[in-house]
Amino acid sequence: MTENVRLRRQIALTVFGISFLAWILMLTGHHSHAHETADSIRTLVAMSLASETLPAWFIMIVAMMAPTLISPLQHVWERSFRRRRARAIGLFALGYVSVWMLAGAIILLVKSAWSVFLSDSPLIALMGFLFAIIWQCSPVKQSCLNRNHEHSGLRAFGWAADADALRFGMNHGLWCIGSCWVLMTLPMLLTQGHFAAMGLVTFLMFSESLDRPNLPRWRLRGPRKLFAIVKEQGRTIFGQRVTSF
Amino acid sequence: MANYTRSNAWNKGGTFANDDLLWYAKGVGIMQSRALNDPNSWWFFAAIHGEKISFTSGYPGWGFIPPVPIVPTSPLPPESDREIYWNQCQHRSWFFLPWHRGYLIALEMQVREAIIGLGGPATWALPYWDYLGPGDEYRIPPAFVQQKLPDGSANPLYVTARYGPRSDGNIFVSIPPVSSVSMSNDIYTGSNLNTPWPGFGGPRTEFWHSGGLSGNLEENPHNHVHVDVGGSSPDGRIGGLMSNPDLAALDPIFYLHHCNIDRMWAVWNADGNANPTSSSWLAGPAGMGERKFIMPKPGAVPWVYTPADVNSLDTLDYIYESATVQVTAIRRTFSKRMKQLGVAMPEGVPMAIVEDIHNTSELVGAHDGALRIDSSGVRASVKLDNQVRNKMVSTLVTASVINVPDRVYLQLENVRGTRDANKLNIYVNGIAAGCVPLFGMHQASLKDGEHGGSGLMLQVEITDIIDTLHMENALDSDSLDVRIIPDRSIPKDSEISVGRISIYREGRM
Repeated sequence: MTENVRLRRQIALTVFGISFLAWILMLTGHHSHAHETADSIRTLVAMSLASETLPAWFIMIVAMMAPTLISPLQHVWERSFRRRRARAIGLFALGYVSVWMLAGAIILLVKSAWSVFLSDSPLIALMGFLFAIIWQCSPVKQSCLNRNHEHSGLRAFGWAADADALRFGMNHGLWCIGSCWVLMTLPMLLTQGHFAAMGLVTFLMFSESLDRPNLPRWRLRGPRKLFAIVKEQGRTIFGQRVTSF
Repeated sequence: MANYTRSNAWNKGGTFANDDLLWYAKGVGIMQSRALNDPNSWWFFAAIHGEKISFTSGYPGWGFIPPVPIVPTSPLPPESDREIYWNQCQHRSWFFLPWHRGYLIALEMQVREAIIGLGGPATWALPYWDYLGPGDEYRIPPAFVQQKLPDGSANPLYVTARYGPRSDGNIFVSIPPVSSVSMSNDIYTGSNLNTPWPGFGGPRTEFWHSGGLSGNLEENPHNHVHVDVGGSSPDGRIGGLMSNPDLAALDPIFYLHHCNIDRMWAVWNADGNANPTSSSWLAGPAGMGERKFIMPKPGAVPWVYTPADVNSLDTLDYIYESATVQVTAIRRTFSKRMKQLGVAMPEGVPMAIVEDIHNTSELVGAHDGALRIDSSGVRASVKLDNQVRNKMVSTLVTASVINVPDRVYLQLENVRGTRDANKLNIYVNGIAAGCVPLFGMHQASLKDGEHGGSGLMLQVEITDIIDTLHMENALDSDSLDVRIIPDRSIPKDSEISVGRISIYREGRM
């Protein structure tokens, strides 16, 4: 069974809640390693050693990527036996986060190496920004976005069910990395305004996750759908006519 | 009083003695004479539903369609027009019915304009093909299979790639499995005692797009008729136009088929069944940040509409000649089910629950692993989870008017393949469970298609079979035996795959 709207909304509320908490952690550092994590995030964006910044990377991933996972989480939930649902969701999340952590380690190591040879400069940020725009418009990016919409069959029993949930999480994570790695890296290139940039990137990535698959080709992509949703919902809430005949 | 009356295409034997058909043919001919990039052309309108113009690796690319008609693939309209108008069709969604209603109105305007230009009647309206009607009406009206009009000119209603259910050019609708059973539903979206999931009009679709199930009317008769009429060529090399959503609207019979679907919706409403009243439905997908419903009126004037605008025939300027749908199949009523389960039905208990009671469902069992279906079909053991099966059985044992027993569905997940012109007959423990058409499978299997390559999800309700097995004490088994048999041979290079067969219960948790 599928298309259970109530379930989808519950999942959406949960992932938004988790994302919100991760954002609070990032912004205030109020958790068990508060000062450490807050420092780590600053270090992360300042391109420090990966070993010190991976926990911060993890929180970043949770904060920025969780809202994009509503649809695959619903898929896992509905395709699993009731008593296995929590376990399947956990394995999906483990697979998803694992590949992002691996990607994070690579990105951070590259950045660390880079920072040895190149000092922070607006030029680097500008180059990164230009590259991000090119990647954002590329057919490769669209292909990765499309692949995120593929929800394959999950086996239901025993270790096979566990393996499939984990595999689905890893696959989904890989295609997410393909579509989002540049956007995720971009805030780190900035010398200031990191959190604002991360917020914008989160907004953009969430909007992209709502878009339908499209033919891979060069095109300008942006948060069109999320803007449209906000606009149309605003009209509905404020009682205006939604469309004209 | 409405200006336009949509009449039965089988009037006057469905031949060109029926003026509605003769003028339709002439109007279609005018539209076909226009270029692909003209929003008033037949080809542009077909592309509004769906197109495969840039698909260059063979059929179903438009460039590979055998004439007649000779389908153009150029000149393309500007990209902005293509993005606004083309590939709009709404399937597997609660917007299926309202989008197609507006589409019919727009096409009708275009054809009427052409007819008036030829000196025809200003009140011309689309006829409908009531394939569930009496006598020979299950056959395509004869006017569509003649190669010439009465004046000896080519018949624009004739199409080569229309092969029928036996691939022999004999075009008819197979009854059964085609039926009017969805007319007994009494809820548009959801499920209740009289309505299996996802409801008469289709599943609610929100911000998150995913390939879901067809609504009950969309599934049967709509999807079935598409596959029956289109069929596949005698050598099995290609499917008929109607079999594929991205080619279907090139065939003039498409609009008569959808006219009948629209009529069935109107009859369903006239019988006292309500459409959704939520703003999410009334505003259409545009209210969720998706594309607007938009059609070119004659003169390429854009017409933007929403479900609210086409919600009721009373607000539109047409009526149907017949407001009845022949009953060809009867769903087992709740009362009958309870009697079969041995539950005494007290007098005076209201049996009509018209609100959606589908709140939750649960996986009962599954066949682990993908299956390939070739011409001989496939057999699979669908393992049941003991705990959930016992829960399901307990609802049958304790069934009462208050404790409504479970409903049970068999689902085929991630059904992928290249050939839409097939139906799959499904048997559970040797009992026929249903037949599912594969309309839309090719598109749903494309990696860059709307479903991201996930394939189709198909469903048949097997509550009757589960009840029977329960009454025969045969439900204590660890598995169900499921056989899937295609209704026609599948070429070697066109195998169908099923990601998983699963059984779901819907009811008290």
